[in-house]
Amino acid sequence: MIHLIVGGAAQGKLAYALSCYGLTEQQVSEGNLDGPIVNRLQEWVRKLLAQQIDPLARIDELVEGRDLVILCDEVGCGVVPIDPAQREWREAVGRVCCALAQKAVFVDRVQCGIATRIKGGPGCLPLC
Amino acid sequence: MIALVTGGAASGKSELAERIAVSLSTGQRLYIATMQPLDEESKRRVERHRRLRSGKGFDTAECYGGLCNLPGGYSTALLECMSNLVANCTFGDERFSTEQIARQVIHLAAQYENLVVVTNEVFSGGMQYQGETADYLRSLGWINQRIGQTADLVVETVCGIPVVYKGELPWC
Repeated sequence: MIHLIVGGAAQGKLAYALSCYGLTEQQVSEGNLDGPIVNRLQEWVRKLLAQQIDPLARIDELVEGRDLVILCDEVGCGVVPIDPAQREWREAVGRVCCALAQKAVFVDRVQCGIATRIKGGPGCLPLC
Repeated sequence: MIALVTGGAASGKSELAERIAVSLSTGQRLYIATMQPLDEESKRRVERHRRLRSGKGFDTAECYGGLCNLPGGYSTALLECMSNLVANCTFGDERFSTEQIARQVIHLAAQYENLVVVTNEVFSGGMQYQGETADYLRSLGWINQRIGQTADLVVETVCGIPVVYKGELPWC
């Protein structure tokens, strides 16, 4: 099961996720999908694009059957970048987040440290 | 009614806007396309949008200038999107002021039972802009506010999930 947490940079997504699940930063994977908490999904997307891999084509199989809390910056709310690679990256981040949100049991958006649940009822994943 | 759909890049705006238009409409549907397919990237985008709405019963009208001379007789029109329209009317061959563009949108809404407008959240990148980009942002922001005031429904898509700010979704 997936719990997706999105929001702008530096809005308190990680602190929120850690407090939800009673975990520490040692249990956070940065920019990869090791879990149980995945931080900076946008960097995983960047890494795959650099290897000419379409992250949208890979994401489903990589999260299938796993319990993951995935944190991703919202990166698509600024002026369209002039650099084509930047445009491709933010487009890919957006599409991957849409795909994950569709699968997710819970989706939260964190702004100013406050989480708004935009999908799912109250509660968290039963992480072991 | 007027519905305004906003959201960041690749957040699912088109899909939601189409769903709203299909859900509201009682007859023929018109899609007003504003993106000129000038390069490979915009051609791919236009193609993706065409695929997305195929089979949903939309006729397409291409509109790369002001919102004039659009065909009537439709129950519902979907205008996609304000960010292109404002860019076309600011930098293109046929130029209009911010006030004129806003009036054209409101006038367009009177032509159909329902108008669904897609706009774009481009205001939160945290960068300082000068000159025409700053003017463009002010213009689009002001038009969004004008449409938002008049709209019955204002909704943002976040990762494909609708977050409603005003009114309610037609299927709720």
